[in-house]
Amino acid sequence: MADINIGKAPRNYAVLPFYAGGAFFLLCIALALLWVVPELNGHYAAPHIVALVHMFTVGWASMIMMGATYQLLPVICEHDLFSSRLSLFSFCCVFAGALLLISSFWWFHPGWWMLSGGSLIWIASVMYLINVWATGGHCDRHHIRKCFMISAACWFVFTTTLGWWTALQFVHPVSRVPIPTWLKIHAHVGMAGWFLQLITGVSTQLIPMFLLGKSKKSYLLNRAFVLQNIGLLSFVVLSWLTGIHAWIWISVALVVAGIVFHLAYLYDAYQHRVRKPLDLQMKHSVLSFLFLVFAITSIPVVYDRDHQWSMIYGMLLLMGWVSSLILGQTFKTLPFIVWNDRYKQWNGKFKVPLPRQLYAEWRLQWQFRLYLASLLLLFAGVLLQNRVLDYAGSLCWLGMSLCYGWNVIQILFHRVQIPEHAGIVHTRSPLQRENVGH
Amino acid sequence: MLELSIQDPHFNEKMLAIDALHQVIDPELFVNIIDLGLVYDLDFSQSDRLVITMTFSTPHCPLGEAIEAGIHHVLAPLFPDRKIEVNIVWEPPWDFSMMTDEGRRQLGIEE
Repeated sequence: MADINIGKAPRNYAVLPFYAGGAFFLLCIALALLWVVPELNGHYAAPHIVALVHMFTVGWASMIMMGATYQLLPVICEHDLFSSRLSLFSFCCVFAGALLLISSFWWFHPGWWMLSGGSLIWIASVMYLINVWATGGHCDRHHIRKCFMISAACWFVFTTTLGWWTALQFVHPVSRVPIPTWLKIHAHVGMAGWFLQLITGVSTQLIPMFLLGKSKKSYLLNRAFVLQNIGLLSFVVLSWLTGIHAWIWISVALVVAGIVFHLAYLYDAYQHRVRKPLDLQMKHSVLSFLFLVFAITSIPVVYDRDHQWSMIYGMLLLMGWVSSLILGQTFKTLPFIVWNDRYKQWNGKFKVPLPRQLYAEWRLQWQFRLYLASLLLLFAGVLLQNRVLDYAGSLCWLGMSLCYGWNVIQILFHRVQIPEHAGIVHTRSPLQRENVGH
Repeated sequence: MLELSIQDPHFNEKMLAIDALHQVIDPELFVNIIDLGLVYDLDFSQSDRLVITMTFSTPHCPLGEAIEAGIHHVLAPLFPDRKIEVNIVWEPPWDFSMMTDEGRRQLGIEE
């Protein structure tokens, strides 16, 4: 064996709990969505809506993104994960923290309940940063995707700190900056720092890999990294010092330019792909980036309009961009992780199932259809302020989350079935039979 | 790229090994490692060992251990007198042009 550090996948307990936790919160989102339909046309800062938003951002998106990073970062850095145990501890903290925080928003109990939930999530984010930083530190080569993942982890800690600080303001208002300003900074750092930068780093690694397409324009990613970070930093500083004013548009323009470079890189890889047909997982991903474009183009409208458009903007980002990417990429990553654990030792000994055979393709098809139907109905429902459409969309989302969760459970609990002849199998080919005794 | 010559003194052994390695699948791409062009060389020159020089489609491929295990599983029973060694290299880097026509067909790659 050459002295090359080939893939030592992280321990299963470092990654799989995040997928299970994500599926759990996706189902919670579906049930909560049905409950809050009457409030969907109200203010986005209503307690139930804020609870729903944190189900999306912490319970669903952050949960899966943390797990996916623990799996992917060793591939990018060509080095084993710093600590699988730290990953597990971060899962315990983020799961318990999400439950506490979301329930405190739902029943609106500011104080120790909200603060303890926020504290646990903050601890999880710090553990995540330590793991990412220490793993990335072993990376011999400069790798822009590694930079995106580390910067995303820093922004993650920053946004959880801001969230905790904002929760503190509810009970001990010690800051002269008003709470809505803190909330806006917290939300934008979460979106443009944590989510955007992690998605940029991960998607530009995974999507070209799955499409068998390569882009030689890595300078696009360097520009995306600089613009996204400068834009966000300026946004934070300007908002903190002066509040949200019209010239914040300069920061927005910088971040948007960074997104354009990110999408241009993906488009170049897409153009140069050798695998032409797109499977359902990749269709989910393409859809995700379309939602991102829609969200960006809706920013000027949101700025001038009422809460209804803010709701659409939030839905485009959370239910569209973030969720669609996760819904697709889960079935590009999770089956491989489980397959590697269950069948690594049996590969070549007998005919093992392929990773894609660990889940039901028909459920993935229904997941995709119900997802599309759900978003179309919910967007129409919110725009037309039609409650029937809202309920129909929420029911579709429930069906979609059941399809997703069922497939995830089927993969997680997959058991190896060893044929009776395993262990002595080497089916002799006609060629081999001819050469017996050679 | 793996090349085979009928004048090679180990032609028969290499054919056997290649035939067996068709059973080892890269789970990421669902294609066997021979048709993917991941195997660069089979060295039978030492009487007590078989050295397989190969690469992976992705550096630090998380499924690398599974592929290595598969190689041992299919070759060890065929060559019980030889120690099976897998030598992973990154040069030359693997790309799609190294795939066989069959591999390209299985991946749905258009010519």
